[in-house]
Amino acid sequence: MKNVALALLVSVASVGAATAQTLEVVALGALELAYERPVAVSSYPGQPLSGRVGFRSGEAYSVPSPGRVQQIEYLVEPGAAVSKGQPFAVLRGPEMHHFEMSYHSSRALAAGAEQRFKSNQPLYERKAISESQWRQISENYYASQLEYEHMRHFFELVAGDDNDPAALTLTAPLTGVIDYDADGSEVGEGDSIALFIPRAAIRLQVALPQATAAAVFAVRAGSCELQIERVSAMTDSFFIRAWTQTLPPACPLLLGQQLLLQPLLRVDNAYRVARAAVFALQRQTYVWRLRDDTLEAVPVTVLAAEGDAYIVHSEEGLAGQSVLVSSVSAVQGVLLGLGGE
Amino acid sequence: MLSALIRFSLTQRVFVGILVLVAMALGVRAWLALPVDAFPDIAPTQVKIILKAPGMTAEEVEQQVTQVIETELLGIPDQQMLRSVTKYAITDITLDFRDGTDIYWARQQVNERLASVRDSLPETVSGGVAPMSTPLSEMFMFTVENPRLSLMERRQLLDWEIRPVLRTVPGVADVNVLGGYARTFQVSPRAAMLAQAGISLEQLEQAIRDNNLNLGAGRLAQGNDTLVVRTEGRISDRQQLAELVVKAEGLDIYRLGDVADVSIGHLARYGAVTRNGEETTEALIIALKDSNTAEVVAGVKRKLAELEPTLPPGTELNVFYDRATLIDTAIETISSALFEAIAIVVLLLALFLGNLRAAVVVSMSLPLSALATFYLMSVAGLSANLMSLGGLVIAIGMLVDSSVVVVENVVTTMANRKGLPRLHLIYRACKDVALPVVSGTAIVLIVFSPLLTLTGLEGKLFTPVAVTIVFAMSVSLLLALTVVPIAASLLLGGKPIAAPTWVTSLQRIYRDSLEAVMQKPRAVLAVFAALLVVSGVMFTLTGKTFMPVLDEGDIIVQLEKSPTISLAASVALDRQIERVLLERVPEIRQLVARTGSDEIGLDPMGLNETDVFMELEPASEWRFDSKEALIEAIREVLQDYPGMNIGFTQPIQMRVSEMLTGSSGDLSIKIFGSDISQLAALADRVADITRGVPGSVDVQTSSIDGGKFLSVDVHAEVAQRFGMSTLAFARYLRTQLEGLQVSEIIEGKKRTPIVFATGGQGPFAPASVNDLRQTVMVMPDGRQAPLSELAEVGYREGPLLVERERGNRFAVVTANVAGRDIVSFVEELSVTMAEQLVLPPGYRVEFGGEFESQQRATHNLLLVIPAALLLITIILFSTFGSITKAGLILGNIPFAIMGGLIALFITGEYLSVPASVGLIALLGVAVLNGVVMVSYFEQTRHSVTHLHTRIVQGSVRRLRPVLMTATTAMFGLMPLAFATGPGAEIQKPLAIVVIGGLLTSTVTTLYLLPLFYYYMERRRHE
Repeated sequence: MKNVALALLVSVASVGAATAQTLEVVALGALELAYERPVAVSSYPGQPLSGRVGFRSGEAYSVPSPGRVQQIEYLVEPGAAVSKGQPFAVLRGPEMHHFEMSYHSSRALAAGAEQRFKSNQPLYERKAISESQWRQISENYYASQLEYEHMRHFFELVAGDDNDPAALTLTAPLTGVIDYDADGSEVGEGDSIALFIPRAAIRLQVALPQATAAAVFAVRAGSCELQIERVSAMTDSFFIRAWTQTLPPACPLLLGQQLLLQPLLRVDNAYRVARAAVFALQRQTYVWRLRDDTLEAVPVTVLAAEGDAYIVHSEEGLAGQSVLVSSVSAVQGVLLGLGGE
Repeated sequence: MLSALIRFSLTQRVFVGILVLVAMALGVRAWLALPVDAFPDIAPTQVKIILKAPGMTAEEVEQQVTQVIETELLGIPDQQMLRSVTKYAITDITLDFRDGTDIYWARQQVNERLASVRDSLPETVSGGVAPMSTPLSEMFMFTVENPRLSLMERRQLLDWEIRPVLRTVPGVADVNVLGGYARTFQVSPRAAMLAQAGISLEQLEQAIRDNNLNLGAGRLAQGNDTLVVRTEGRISDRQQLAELVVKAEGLDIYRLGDVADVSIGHLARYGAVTRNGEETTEALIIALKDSNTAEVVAGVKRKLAELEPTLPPGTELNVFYDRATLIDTAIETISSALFEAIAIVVLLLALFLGNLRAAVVVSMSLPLSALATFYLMSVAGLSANLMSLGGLVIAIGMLVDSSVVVVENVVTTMANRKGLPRLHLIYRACKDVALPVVSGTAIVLIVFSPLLTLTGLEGKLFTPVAVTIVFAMSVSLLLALTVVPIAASLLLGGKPIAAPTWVTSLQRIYRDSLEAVMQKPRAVLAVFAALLVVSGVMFTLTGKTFMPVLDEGDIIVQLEKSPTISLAASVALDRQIERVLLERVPEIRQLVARTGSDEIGLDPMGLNETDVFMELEPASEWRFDSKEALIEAIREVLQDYPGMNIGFTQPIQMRVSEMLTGSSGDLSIKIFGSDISQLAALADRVADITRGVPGSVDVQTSSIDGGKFLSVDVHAEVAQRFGMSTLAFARYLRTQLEGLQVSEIIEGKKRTPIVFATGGQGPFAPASVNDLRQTVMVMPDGRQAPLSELAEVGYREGPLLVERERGNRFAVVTANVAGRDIVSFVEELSVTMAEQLVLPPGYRVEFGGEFESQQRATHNLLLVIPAALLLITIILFSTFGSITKAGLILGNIPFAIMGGLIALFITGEYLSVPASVGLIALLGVAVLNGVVMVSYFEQTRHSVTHLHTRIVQGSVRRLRPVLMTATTAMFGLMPLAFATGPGAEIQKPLAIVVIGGLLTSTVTTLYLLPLFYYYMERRRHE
């Protein structure tokens, strides 16, 4: 090529660990040179992670069974939205009658125990009864009260219009989403009949890779973008558990749903540039920045891809500056000494 | 014996006539059936192994594949060269066998050796022995154009509609499909879903493999019938694939679509094709070795014509390379030269003999010799091509020599001797000249024998020339002693045929001038001595080259871009170049550019390499007088596009160069050594030095160093905890990047691979190093882990390309030479390199390419020509019984060569192999004329005793035959000397040398030979 060797001015100057290289535009002949202006960005999408729609411990309301239940007919499906007071299940079986008897007997026992407690309290204060007798009366009183309260709470959820003595219809304690074990396993005493999760408690549980956990500030699930609210201080293998904000109504995700999430990572000095702008030389990636009539290789680190663009990090401000987006490989070839005959 | 043959012919004229008719019929049949090609099959017996090793770097492929196979192959007998090119994911090993080695034996040997090392190769390696083709087998290329079809659809059309049909054409070894997108069913596993379902990638793969099957279960006897029982599970479409059950546990049934995205994707692309700046798809027909190219091309065209109506509406098969065009033009060039030569020779004969009947008798030997030669060519397995037919053209002038001598003597005898029966006179006349005619022909045959010893490309090219000449001359000799006497007896009347007036006048002038020369010989001797010296000087000034460049009509521009360029960027640059070339060079009709590797791997170019194929408008529409000027114009356009190496070649020239040296270019400078970085540095230095030598153009260094790889080093102690081996890790990673074929779906005749891949597209495909590090992998136990926790990702550098010859690594610098000859260029370059290049111990430089061939040809000819001269001397000695007379005739040779060299110098041609062949041909003609002259002096020794009179009378008497043989040979070659079509370039130097040489040697035969004979005889008398 005519006098390209002369026209080509390659200067090498150290900039930190990277090497800045320049080329005069005139040396690039008739190559098509198109430029674009990088756009500054504050975040970039990371590689997909898995997440699950759930709730944090303690945010759900559980309805425990007062005893072993032979048959439960759920009136709503798991995951369905229920309103407070809405019947959600009918417990059937001879034990329902026992439950009622237990409830009434516990109430009677509690009443008796209360009377006994109250009547003996002055005696104890006067030291008329021994310490051990009083302790026994007290324990009996509190135990029967507790038993009664349990039953009472349960029976508060029982719909009042139930005429069948062998059936109890339960109503939702709060407005939210119901969850229960739908595989038909037997419910024993103390087992949960159903969980009620308030809408405001439903959120995404995300396993963030340790290396990037600190930078992830949000995740995308389909069209929803959810901010990370809490991040665990412990790791599970390579991941750290994190929770997003609660799901807004616009996010049509189902409780328990497993899904792929795209994390959004916070970054400083990052720009969106066309993929065609980035080239590699030695062990470093660069873009060509136009300054006057000179192209200057600016070191960048490619963080992620977004459509036809890359999100790159650069210590040098690129926002608003012209970056070469065509014939980049040919310009790279010039640096490598190709052509030029 | 010769007398008996002549007598038999004259007495059995009807029988001989029938034999001639049979021979003619056989000749015509042979001509119609002869394989037609532009060139002889110049390829050596060559076996190529192409192995693909996905994901492996060049150095790894070299160590684990190439070296292993090369070591095994080195033991195969009869091999001449073992070379290999190893690149990313592919190795191309070529084995050249000794000429004459049976190709099937060679392939079997290679296959056996390959099979024995198969187990020691990495399991991902696939491929084997390449189709049985030669580097010249690429003889028909077309693109599929249809704006309504996507690139993938066009590719499908090629793969499954066109290719299978074309492969049925006899002689087609394979159809290489390039460009577009090879359709796949793409399964992109969703890591989170797999983890949730507890399915590993291996399990997913296994589920697809195990379920996509139809199996036979045996037979069920039912009454008197037997029913074949089959288990059917084969998937037939994308829907079925998505619904494939990959895991069932309790009520949970996981289908493929639940844990992966099933879509239509494409195989990873290793190359692309663009036409006039737009991407397209291309088919390249590869002919079988030894097939009849013209027939194969015709068969392909027939099939395409049958196919075209069945293709989707709007589909155009755009043919941009058709070897038949080159064959037609080349054969037309040579055929018209042949017919023109015949016409000129017949005219000359009529002029010299002054009798149309006599001219017809002599001319008869031309068509008969040609037809018999065609028959012998078909028996010998030669094709009709530029070289073999060129041999016939060269021989035309000499074919009539024997007949001329015979007829001339018959005419003279019949004129002088009357009273005897006509047949007896003819018999006597033929018998008298039979021995010199046989000796003369034998001398010509011996002269051409050195050509049979040429090896390499020059041997392949010029052996058909020599063989054809030998066939034609032998037949013409036989005809001269059999058919010509019969024809003379039938056609020449009883009336004596007097010499034409102009010949008598010429004889008178010659007599006077010869007398004058014999009276005062010093001036003439001084002139010839001076001319000898001048020709010697001219020889030193004449450029030396191997072979003139044959104009194939098309141009290929080779582009080499940055070695790490992506396919998309490479194609973008190609498109830019194509657009500007079409805009600024109107001589270009269309451009088809091929980037990267082909499907089969016959030409494993990198993504940074592009061959831009240019189809040109007819030369009459050009702005330039020559192709060189057009190339210069294209070069000027391309010089405005820096950052790319540019080279010019032609389709066949490129393949021939690659066949000879493994690289293209007139000259290849190979630097042998072990360290790639060192080799790369030395190659750059050699390239710089070469660029500094005047005449160098297109100097290129193949980029062997500077390969940049992302190295993913697995932390085995972590990965193994999850049951993840390095192999499983690599396979997993492959699904993320290139794709991993796990099975295939058969839809009618289409077989579409099922590939685990992200396709490099979509939101989840890793698009940067950072992405790769963040990729979350599903472990065999179903758990997940980020890649960065399992492996270290880092840059590593290594060779991009490893080229080896006989097990030794080398780097190559290629160059074309313009405006000067290659030998002087290499000489100057060698001197400069000796001064400026310091080679480390263990490193050496070799010059190859055309230069190597030229040196080899020179060496061979210098060994064999003396032997041929010795044989000629023996024949001359046995003819004349005198070593002095033999020496006298041989003395004519330097004067013949003198003329050849002067003609070369004046016309500006280089001394090349064809020119050397011309010089060899000159030896024969020069000696033949001498034999004609001296034999007559000897014959009249007793009838004319006075020496001076005998010589002058004899010379005048022999003027006509000498002039006839010389002029027929000279003018017979004129059409070749002035031919301009493709193929003329090779024969032109030969014709020029022979014409020039005959001019001087005829003069010396007519003046110096009688003079020297006179001196010699006078001394003997005294």
